[in-house]
Amino acid sequence: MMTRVIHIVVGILFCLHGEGYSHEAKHVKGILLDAVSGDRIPYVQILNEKDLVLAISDSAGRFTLSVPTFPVSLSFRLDGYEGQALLLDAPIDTMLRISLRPRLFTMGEIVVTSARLSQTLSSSPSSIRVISKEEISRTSGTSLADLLSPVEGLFVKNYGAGSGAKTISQRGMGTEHTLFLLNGMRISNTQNGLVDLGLLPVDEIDRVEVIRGGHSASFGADAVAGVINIVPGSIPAQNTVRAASTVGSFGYRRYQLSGGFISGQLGIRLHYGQEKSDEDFPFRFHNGNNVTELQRANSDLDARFGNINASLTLDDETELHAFASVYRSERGVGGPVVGLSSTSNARQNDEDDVLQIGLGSDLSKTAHLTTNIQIRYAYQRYNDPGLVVANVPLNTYFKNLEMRIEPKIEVQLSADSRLATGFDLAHVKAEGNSMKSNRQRTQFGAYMLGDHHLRSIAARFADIVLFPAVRYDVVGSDVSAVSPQFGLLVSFRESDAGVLKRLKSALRASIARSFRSPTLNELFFNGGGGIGNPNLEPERSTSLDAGVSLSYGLFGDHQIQGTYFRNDMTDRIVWVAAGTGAVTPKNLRSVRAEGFEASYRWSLPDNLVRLEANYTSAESRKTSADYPGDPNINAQLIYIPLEMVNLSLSVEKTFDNSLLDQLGGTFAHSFVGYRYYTEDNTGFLPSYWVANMNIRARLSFRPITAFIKCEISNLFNEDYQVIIGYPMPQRSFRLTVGVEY
Amino acid sequence: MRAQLLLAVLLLFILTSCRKDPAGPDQSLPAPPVLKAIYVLNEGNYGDPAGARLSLHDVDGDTTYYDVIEGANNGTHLGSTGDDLKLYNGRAYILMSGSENIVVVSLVDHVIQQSATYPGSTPHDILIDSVRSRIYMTRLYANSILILDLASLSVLDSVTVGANPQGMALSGNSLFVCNSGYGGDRTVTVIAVPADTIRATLTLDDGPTGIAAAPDGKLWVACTGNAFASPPTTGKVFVLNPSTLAVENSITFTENLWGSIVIGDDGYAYIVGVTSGSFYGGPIHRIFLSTRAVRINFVQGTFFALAVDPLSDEIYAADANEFMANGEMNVFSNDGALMQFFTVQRGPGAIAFKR
Repeated sequence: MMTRVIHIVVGILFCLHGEGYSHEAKHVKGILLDAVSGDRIPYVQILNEKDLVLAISDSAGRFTLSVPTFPVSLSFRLDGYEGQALLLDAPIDTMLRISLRPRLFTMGEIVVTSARLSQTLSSSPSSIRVISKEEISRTSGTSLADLLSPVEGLFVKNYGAGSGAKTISQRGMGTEHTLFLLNGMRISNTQNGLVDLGLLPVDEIDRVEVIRGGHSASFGADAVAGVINIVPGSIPAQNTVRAASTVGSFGYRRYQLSGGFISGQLGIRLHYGQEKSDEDFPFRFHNGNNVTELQRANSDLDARFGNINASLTLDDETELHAFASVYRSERGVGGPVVGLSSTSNARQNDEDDVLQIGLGSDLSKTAHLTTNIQIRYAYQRYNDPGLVVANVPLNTYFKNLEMRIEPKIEVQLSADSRLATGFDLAHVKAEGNSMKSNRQRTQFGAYMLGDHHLRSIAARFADIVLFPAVRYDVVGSDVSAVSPQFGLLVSFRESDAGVLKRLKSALRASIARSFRSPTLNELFFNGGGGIGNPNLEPERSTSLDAGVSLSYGLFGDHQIQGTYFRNDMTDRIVWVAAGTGAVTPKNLRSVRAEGFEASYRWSLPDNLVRLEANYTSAESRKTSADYPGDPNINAQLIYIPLEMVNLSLSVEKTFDNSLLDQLGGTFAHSFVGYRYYTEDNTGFLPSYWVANMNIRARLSFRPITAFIKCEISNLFNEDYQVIIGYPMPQRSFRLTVGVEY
Repeated sequence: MRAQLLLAVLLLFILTSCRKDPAGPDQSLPAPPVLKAIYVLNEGNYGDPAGARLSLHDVDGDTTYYDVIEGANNGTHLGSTGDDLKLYNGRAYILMSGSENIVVVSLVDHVIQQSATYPGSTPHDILIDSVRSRIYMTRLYANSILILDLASLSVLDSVTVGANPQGMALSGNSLFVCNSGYGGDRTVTVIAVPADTIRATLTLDDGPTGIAAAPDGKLWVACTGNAFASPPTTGKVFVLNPSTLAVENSITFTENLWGSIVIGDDGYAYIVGVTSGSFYGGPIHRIFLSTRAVRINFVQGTFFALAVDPLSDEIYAADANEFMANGEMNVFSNDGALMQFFTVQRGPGAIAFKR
């Protein structure tokens, strides 16, 4: 650990009502801040000269510790930050403000907020990828799908641009096998198990955490292939107003207004946006050697969205958070293009509202309680006037209202061990005309997990940490599951010897049992030729992943990670014929998904140059018969690419005392290997390369900052389809301009 | 520097070692002229723009040719979701419901001679009226039929019928259209041709889907039944007098029917039932025309399409293999014995005989 005497930044804080902090002279209180972003840093360990943990900063970055005698030597430690030391000669009446400088190694600098047990990237046994705010600003695109597309292990199933649905496949598993969280709380759709990534605007996303592998032991149902947590924009450190406008090809336009306000202990962030696009892009329709230029129709999008994020410090130990978001959209559903005259008049309306309230309080110096409540309303209507059966045009809808409460206690048991325990309780009411009657379902899950450092074993060479976890879930009246997990992390000590001095390395492994609960549609669907099956069992899986990570600081920072994964699933739900002209779901299939993820990142200081490359191979094969005589055992599942590669080069320069504050650009090139669209693997879609680039600049007219970003998507005009029948746009452009005060 | 060079080499290695796309199927060679042939129109997967494929089985040579259209037309495809096929006057008239087009090819060299697209038509079945030089085409989701000129394929007229029309049959100056409603309609519309006016609407039972003419001129209509009705209804077969429009007889089944019905010159009608656990057909039941005696499960299996060879009275029944693999054509003798089988392509849905 690096320690050195720092320059102490001591501020004098007065609370909202003009009261100074009055406390016992032998109590020391403070707040820990990121020296670069100004954000508060939770979970920092404060140690004395004997390396004993005296306190841990809370989720708001605050700490309180009792000091029996002075002078006292304190040190502040958190992975991803340069350690700091502080010598206090005498008690002080003011609150300490300690700034910690992030390490250049990005692997450790980010706290994984969705983890049940607070941890950083480098202290987790799981393979985790965090897309930071800075990375979001470097990336082209406007939706969550654009952010996730270049991440190793993920494949975005893109049904065309604009209004086309976009779902995720992680590690060769299905869309419904990735659990989505918002601020750590479940938002995966209970009705159909899907999250349309195209409907989540990227503007107000602070970061995205991708936790790979089975994690039902922490999160319960549906965390089979992994978990994706979306963290909305955080409350800024000072008052700010921001407005931006984007225009682009195919009638694209987008307007956003956001503001952050700080008043004493209260901080609020507001955001409103509107997005519209005609998406009438040209594309080439191929029939043998005949190529016809067509134009996409009925793919327009009209969306409005807004959110409020608030934080209120109630007292020194307690903080209240609230988040609310509203989303409304209407879009055309173009359908597959299967001929020169393919026309679909189908339309879809979506509404999604979320209200979250969280309360965090310190029970003691080493125990922290958080309680989060969420209310979520989701509505979707799909109508197709051109699809008429028995004189009734297709017009289906569903509404879900879900309430959820999730209390959790996190305890530092000792210097070597931590424990987190809690439960999730949720109740959902569902109505819709695709079910015979309205439905309700209650879900309960209780978990316990922790970590323990094995200091005595090979302590000279490595820090070994064990991560046991177990969870029990009950979903509805019939589904229950026990989900154990065990993780191991071996972090090798940095060597003192020569060239190896700058090498950091770690081995990680995790094995877990996970499950996916049948959706409401799978249980209760009734109509349009589909019949739900209320006797469905959950899908079960056993996942294993093992990996190595290396980082080296020479001519910049180099990071290499490689992970082997495998997931064996049984009782996978498949819709099969019911023998009466209908289809019904059954627990039929066994699947094995296996592969390898590798990534390399290199960056110069201050991100002047940043190079990233990743590679994924995934074989996902059916290992059982869906029906007697099924000839497709061991066939690759459809729409699972066997290989993917992503390359990205970013250049960014910050200028001091200049009108031009920052200038940068990113070029990204992605490869998606061939993927089958027939069960017997006789039909496949060819592989493709797609390149995107952007150039961006910030201009400073203090106190106002202006920014501009020019994006080119599909730079080389690739003619490709991700899903058969759904052409992707050729080269397109977008321009964003905005101001911030 | 050495480390960066090593990493660059590693990166290059990864990029160049990515798996190459698998070799696609060899460009089919044109099928040779065949005197006695079985044509099978295969639907293909839903949403596949090039899914409809034509297979050809040479009866005398016992050889099957695939992608017949692609082989003869430099890779040009038929379109999406091939649903109906009729042979007439040395040509094949092929209907694709997904791409809403008709393609006409020569039965000698399979070269495309004509094609026409009908945007928004949602077509499903065609019937050739050689007397009036017309084609009748059902519009599945538009509750009507289009009347086309046989020579030019242009639209002559349109007539509104019942819900989700499928099977059609001509008898004299009357066109009978089965309005299936996917089990939700119960009617057969009778259209006077060439006036194209509604002569009558007959009410039978749930899901009239298939219709065939017997040697005595009577029309046999297969109704699927409706498993979603309250209470559910089962399949029925009705015998209509096309002159008087009277229902002369009916047969009630204890289970649903698939909807296909064919009548041979051997005195029997063959219909397809429904197999529990399959979405794509069922066993073959046989009905003795004169007595209406039914033999349930005359041929066991799951058959998606059915036809009777007009020369040999052999029964051709296609198994779609749940659309998970290429289909299989099974040939049964008149007494139900399997005589031979050959592989076709995905979703064999229409069968025609060239003699």
